[in-house]
Amino acid sequence: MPESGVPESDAPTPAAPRADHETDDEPRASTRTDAFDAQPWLDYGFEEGDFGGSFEDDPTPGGFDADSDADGWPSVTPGFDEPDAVPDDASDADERGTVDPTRGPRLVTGIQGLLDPIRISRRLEETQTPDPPSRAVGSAAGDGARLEKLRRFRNLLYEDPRLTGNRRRRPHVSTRAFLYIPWIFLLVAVLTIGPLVLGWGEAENLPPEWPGVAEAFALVDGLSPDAVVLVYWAYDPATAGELDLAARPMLQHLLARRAQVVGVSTLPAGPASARRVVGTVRQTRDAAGMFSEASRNPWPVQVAFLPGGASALPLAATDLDRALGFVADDLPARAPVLSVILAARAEDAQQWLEQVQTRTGVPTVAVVSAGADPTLRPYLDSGQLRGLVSGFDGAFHYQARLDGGDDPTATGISTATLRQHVNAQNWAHLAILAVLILGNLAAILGRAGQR
Amino acid sequence: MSTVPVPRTNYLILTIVVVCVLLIAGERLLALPVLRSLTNGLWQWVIILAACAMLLGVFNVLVVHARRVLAGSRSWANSLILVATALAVFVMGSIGPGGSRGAFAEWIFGAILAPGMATLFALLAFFMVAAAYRYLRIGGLSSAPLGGATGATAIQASATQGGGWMLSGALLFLLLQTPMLNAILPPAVVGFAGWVLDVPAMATLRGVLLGGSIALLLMGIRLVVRGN
Repeated sequence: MPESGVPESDAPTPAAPRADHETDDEPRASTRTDAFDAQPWLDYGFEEGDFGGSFEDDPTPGGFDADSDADGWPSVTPGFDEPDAVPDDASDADERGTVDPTRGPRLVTGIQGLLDPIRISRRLEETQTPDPPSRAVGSAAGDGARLEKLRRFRNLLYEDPRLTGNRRRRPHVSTRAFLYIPWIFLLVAVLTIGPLVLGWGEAENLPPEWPGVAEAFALVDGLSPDAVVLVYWAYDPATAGELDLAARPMLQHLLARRAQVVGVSTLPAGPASARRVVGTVRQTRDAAGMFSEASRNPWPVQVAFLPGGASALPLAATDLDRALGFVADDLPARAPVLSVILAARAEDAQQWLEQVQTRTGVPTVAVVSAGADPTLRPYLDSGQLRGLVSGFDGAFHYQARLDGGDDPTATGISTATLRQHVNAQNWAHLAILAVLILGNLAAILGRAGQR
Repeated sequence: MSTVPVPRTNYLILTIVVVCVLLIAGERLLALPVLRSLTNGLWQWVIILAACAMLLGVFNVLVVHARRVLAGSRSWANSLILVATALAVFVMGSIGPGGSRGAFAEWIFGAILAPGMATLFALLAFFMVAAAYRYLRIGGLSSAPLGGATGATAIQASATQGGGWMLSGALLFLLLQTPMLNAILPPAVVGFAGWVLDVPAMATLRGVLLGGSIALLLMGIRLVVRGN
């Protein structure tokens, strides 16, 4: 009698785990019987004497180590005497009765879900040399499918993992067509280009005039002929769309006053931009045919490139001749009486004010982009800047003052051209307002949809 | 256990920095004319070093792309075009009539460089429109990004929390600066916008400028004194 006191014949056999597809009404598979036949120690109530033989006599490959552990349980070890021994396992033989050498030895049997082992390496002894791969292939000659399987498995171990069947989710696209963002881009482009190209909706309204434009005009208008004006050219073609429109009236005015304009730039494309703009202004003035020979400005506008960024600006303040020496053909004989900053960014104007204006004390006027205006307003308020012409609005009012002046030679770019840009600015602002409204509408509808 | 190498102060470099700072500060703050010639020399050296660095950068770009062409790396054709164009412009600017101000160089600049730079910068407008559409919104977090674009939810959450205030300011000044609408706005609104610009906005900007300058000064002193 076993220790539990239940007779062996009446001892309930432990139930094998039922597979998912099995039900209580289905007969159990015969694997349970096979498993307990192969590994009788799994059976409940097993005693050594029931095995019918000692462990040493068990012919099962990967059999039992006769040296059991301290608790008396047998230990299963892959006890192969010969590494290359092919297990003579009837279950591994194919229909022709040959054993597949790529199949590795099976250590445990009878457990559902185990994969078939595959031999992928050999156990080498020190005295043995590794066999060439062809030998392993040669041993499995005639069975390409299994070799291919082995090769795939080997590649699988060495390749980087790849996700298959996992497509990247496309970003969510709103079903509301009018909130589709490419449409919004198209709206902005149409409302901006339409007035410029097609001349939509001519507006008679003027842009607002911000403080600083009148002061800048007055300073330039008060220059005497041949006065030296130092220009800091701090924009390149990237921002020329706005700054060219703002710089042209100022340059026009300076040339009309016959000022001797010399400039420095810390941008590599600065001097080339300056030549382009000055050339356009001169051509426009000459084409207007309103200028006498005496009113032509004899001085060429020369702009030097100073590499080094803001670190190079102090030299323009302390030794302008040395800063311009390698560029200017005719150096100015006198010190500049006015500085003009042409900058797209507020930082460039600030650097000039910090490094140069504080040293020289020369009155400074800034022509900047509209985005730099708020940052430079404090400088205008404190007096470091005597005038501020910002963006297209400032250019419009500066040009309007120029056109309305007494000097007939000052007219160059007509105000009508600038008014066309005012019209485009109108529509662009309306487009931005529409974008803001649509964005908030999208947010409100989105929240409502989520509820 | 990994060991991080402790940076050692290079006292020679630190000495040079201190001497230069004292020279420039002395010439600037104390207005000593005797130091002006020394500081002018320093500024010239800065310009020369910057020019050499620029040339080195150009040379490095050419070498990197030439190696790609010789090695047959991916997109080697683009590298070949870059190298060939750079050499052509350099040669024409050096030996061509008029040099760097000659007709060919001016044409390259006016027909290729300037329009290309302007085009790239013009894309900024669309980015700003997209940002205004997505983030200038009243209210808090909107979980589902609309309009066919994905975005980091956390960034969107932090951005939209202040969106109402930003939207108010943007709307006010858009209305003010639109010529068509500026004419129909009541004078009180225009005056209020002007007051906002002159008083709170200007005070804030002055504070930012002053604070930034003081912070920069302290960082410079720390760099000189502590060496890191």
